[in-house]
Amino acid sequence: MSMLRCWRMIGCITLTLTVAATAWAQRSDKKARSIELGEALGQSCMACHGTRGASTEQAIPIIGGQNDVFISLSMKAYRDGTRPSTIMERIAKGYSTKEIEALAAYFSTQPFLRPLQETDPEKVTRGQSVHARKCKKCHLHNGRDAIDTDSPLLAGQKLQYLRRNMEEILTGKRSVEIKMDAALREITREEVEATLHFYAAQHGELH
Amino acid sequence: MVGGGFGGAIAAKTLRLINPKIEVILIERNRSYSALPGANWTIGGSRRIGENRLTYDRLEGNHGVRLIYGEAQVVDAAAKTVVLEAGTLSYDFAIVAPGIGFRVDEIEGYAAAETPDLFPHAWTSGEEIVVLKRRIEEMKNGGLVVVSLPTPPYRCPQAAYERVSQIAYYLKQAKPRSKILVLDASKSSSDLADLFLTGWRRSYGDMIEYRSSQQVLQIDAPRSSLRTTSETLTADVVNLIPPQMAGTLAHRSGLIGEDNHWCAVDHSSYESTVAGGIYVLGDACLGDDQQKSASAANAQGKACAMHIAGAIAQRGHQPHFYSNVLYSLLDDKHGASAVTFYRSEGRKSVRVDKGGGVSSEWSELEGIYARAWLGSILAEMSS
Repeated sequence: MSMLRCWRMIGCITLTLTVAATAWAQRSDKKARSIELGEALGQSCMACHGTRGASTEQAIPIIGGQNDVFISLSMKAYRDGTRPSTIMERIAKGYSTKEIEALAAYFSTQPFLRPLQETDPEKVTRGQSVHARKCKKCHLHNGRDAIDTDSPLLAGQKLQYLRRNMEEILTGKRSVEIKMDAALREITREEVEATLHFYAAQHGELH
Repeated sequence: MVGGGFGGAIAAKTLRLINPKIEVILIERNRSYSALPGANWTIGGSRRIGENRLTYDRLEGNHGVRLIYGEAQVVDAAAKTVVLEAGTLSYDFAIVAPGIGFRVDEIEGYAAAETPDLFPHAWTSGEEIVVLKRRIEEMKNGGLVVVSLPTPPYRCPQAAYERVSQIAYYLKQAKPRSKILVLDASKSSSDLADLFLTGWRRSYGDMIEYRSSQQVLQIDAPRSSLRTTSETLTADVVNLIPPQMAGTLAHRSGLIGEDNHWCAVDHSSYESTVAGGIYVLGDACLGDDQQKSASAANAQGKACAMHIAGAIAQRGHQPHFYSNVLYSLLDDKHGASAVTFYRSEGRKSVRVDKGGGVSSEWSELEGIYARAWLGSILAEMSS
């Protein structure tokens, strides 16, 4: 390789890296602005969903630390009326898609706090084995993680909220992915309830 | 921060959450705060008033908000001081949440000291509900309860309709031959009023009689009688909610706007347009179409905190956009909600057309959410 070609190549690589770095910087700047907007808009959400989305109420889900795509999808589904709700449809309709994504960006960057909940130890044990058989491929690490950010984190989520959502799914009021639907067909109602206890039982700092 | 109600407590906490370097002092006259939302439910029996009490210890412990218990006499915008009985405090930014007072001179025969005991309003503190509840419980079966709602704007009209619902729920079980007469000064007809009227008809039949455009002009509380724009009547229990204005501190501190009753603010920051450097939150403010509620005060407290934290850091802030969420219970189970969105536009607060609205029906699920909303907002402001 001639010296000239070599320098040209280095120049090309440098240019490519510079463009990539600028694009990355712009993206992260855009992300930071979105989080900032989400923090301002999200203040209203916290009256029900708790400080920084750490719900204190059984009926209301924790949204702080939840997966961002899942939050966005949920809000859009509430807005379109495809996910059943009481108040959330009327709330979600107040926000643009950009605002929904900002809310999701902000809350997803907050810690997922998991205070101790009342659960049935027998159901927790049974639920653990159901989880291992049917759920763990997508709801990773006992529900502390998910295979994609469009799936919810379940570990430490409020039991009453989880129960009502499963009821909506099982009665066909809310549609879910084919994989989830298939898994649910193979387990009993009691197993579903036990699995929810298993997720709800996880508390404190999880690693 | 003067006043630790729904606006003040959360403003103090939010300032500390955004920037822990900001020194925040919360001045509050009560060591134990008794909230009004949910106080109505004690009449129907599905809540104890003790559950409405909260303290400020955790704002101090968890967030480093400094508490001073005492009554602020005046906030002096020129001197930048808050005058307390125990001394004077200097500030860089003062936020006040003075709550409401009553325009009792608009009702002939109203004695500020004695009337609230005879015709309880139960509209400034949750504790006051105890007197009203006792009067209703002591009433004979077949008695008449009058609930009088004032001319708007006033603190949380939805809570007034809920009050009627909870009295009816109690009477239906304990004193079913009794009647409730609602004298509403509003020329009412809103989605919200319709929701209540429908619920009342379905659950309580003809126990409740509702009359709009009925203003109480004169009372004789010892004789339990009152005169309205159209008639004179006597009742066994009178829940007289007088016409309202901003609380005493707002008047003493010169925060009242041109209407002579309410504080005038720039809604982009909540800074007083009468006394610069003082920010005013909650029911004491006159909004452009702004509802007075715990939820609105909570949202304003946060928005104001973000504005002040932004000013201290010398950076801009996001324009306000927030929801006002109101929950009510029809009985011990069935709930409904109303959502309104607001945004700041210049110095005004504008109601947003998109989204929001009132529940289509009373439901058990919203009954559960009503309790969860209260639990959450009380926890949020106190921990």
